[in-house]
Amino acid sequence: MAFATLWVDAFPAIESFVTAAIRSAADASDVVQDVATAIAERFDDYDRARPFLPWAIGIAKNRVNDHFRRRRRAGEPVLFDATLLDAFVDHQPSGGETEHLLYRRALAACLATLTDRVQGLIRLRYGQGMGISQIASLANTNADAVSSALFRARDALATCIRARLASEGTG
Amino acid sequence: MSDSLLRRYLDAETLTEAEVSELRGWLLDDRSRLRSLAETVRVESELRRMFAGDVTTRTGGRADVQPNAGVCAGALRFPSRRLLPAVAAVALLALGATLALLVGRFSSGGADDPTIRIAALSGPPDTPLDSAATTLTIGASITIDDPLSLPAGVSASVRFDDGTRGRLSGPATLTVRSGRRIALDAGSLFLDVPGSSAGWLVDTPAATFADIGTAFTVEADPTGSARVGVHEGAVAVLRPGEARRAGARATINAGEQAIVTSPTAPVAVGALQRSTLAAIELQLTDILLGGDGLGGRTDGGIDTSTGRVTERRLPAYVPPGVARPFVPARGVPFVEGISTVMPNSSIRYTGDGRIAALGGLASGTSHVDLIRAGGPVHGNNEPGSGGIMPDTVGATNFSRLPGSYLFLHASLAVTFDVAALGRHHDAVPGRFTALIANAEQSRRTRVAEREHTTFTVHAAVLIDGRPVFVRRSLSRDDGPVLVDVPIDRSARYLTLYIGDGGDDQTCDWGLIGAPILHMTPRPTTQ
Repeated sequence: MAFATLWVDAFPAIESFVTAAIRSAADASDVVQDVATAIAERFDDYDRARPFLPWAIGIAKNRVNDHFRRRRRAGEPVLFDATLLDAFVDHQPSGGETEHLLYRRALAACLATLTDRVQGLIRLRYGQGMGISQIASLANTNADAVSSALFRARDALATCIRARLASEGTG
Repeated sequence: MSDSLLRRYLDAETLTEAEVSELRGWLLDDRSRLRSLAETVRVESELRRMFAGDVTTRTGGRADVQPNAGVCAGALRFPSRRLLPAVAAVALLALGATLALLVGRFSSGGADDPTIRIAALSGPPDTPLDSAATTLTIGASITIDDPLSLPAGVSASVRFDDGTRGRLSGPATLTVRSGRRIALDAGSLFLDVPGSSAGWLVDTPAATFADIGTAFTVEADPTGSARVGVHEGAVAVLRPGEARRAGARATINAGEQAIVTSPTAPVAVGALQRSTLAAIELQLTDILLGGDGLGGRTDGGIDTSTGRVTERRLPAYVPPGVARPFVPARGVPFVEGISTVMPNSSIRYTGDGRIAALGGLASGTSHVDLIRAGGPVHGNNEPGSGGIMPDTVGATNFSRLPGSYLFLHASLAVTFDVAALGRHHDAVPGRFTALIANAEQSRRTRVAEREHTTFTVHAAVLIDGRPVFVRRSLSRDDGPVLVDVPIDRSARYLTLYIGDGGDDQTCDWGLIGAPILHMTPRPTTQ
């Protein structure tokens, strides 16, 4: 199969893994680009008898590790060491773009089940990129309440998505 | 203890090295915690993507990216900016107490005559831009009650003295009635109103739209219908003559649009179609020839060896096998450059707009030529060939499409600087649309000896080096293929690529018809 086809199919999973591991969206975007370049450069090494995604994720993991190493050298505490990152990879989605499409549909459906207020908090946090204190100030409440609400909302969304995908036979 | 550390980590609080170490150990102690973390951060990253409008759906085995409308439409109903004023206003409206208050404020329109100045103008250079009393030049003031008309293809950015910014896209007719009231008889008007200046009214023949501290677009159709799209905050719909009557309104929230076909028709509310509302449609042909997308240039091309714009009759011919990985565009403000792609090489994107190679999409022999805009194109790409190059594929005459077409001879890519265009037009990218076709179809008769080959091409669209549309082996019999891909507002580069299909090294011509970059005016807070 041609590189472009494989890459297009694997891209959502790779991007999802990198953005999940690296909290900074800007850093994650840079690393995704690095991963794309690295995968392209090493494409001749890819054994076509084996699945593409695990091979690509392996390269992505190395790039993420490189990123964390640089952050550590800069004196920044980094949660993911090599052991934790290895374990984290095991919990990453293994499906291609179809799996991601189903996941995103499930997320949209689950999001709609939350109250307007919680949807608003989520929108402020992830759409506007606001900090917890900033949201608390806007919502006329305290930071702990916002943090708790978002924590519960994320948990509810994850549970809901898992259930939806399982009921569709894709989880 | 570590549970609270996890929450702080997810809240992006800064943790000490000791706290990070404790959290790491806690996660490794129980893999179900790690699984939970993986699920949570995936939810987070997908939420960010969803709200950035970057969710795509794909069908079948092809990588044709479809619009994402509807994926999360039901969830986008919460005002995002100026949250409290909008929510408070809507709540009061629901109680039935605020309508009169709002209408009273809106109808007064402000006591003082406003100062309204033209901040920017875009459009063909020779277009007459005079209204009856207002000369449309940058810095000119708009006169109250003087109808202002903009012809097709012209856009005017305006600034009001209360800080409100607007953008009027022609063909349009607008009259400023007072400090906070505008009559829009036709055309598209985007307004970004600071929270402190809430209370603008936009009158159309079908309805009046009342701003509640927001950014919104009103489109008035010559047939009498109107549409409002709310980008942020909320807008109330008031009917002409009924503005003081309770119940004669609907509230449209961020992420929604409303269509009103007549003063008495019901208000139809749906998800905001960002691609059509307030869109600034930039023609990539004009941009390729040195314009900013609104100038209507279609006559000429870029020489791939020099990166310079040249006139229609292009003298140059680049023989097969001469590839230049990247030639920066010279004197073409919004074109980053041209990559001529060698075959059988892997994808390589350097992050600065260069596509040095595209693995799997560059087979056969690279046979590069000039990129041409407009049509019809004279057939001077081959020595001794003099006629007109084909511009009709199937039933589509590409030379009659808006902005005509780009003509690319495989294998090459042209990269546009979307971010620079956004800065220039004070807008954010929304979509790219085009019709792509293999141009060889019209050559069947003239090149009968080549009937045994298919002359296929590969076509791709890339955003920041990432393929968002790939169509392999597009043959002359496939006809035009519609490309409609969303572009994230943070995108920098848009690359269009036509590659040799590998079945013959000659005549691999791609037409990219009506290549339009759709942008949306940028709200002030972005």
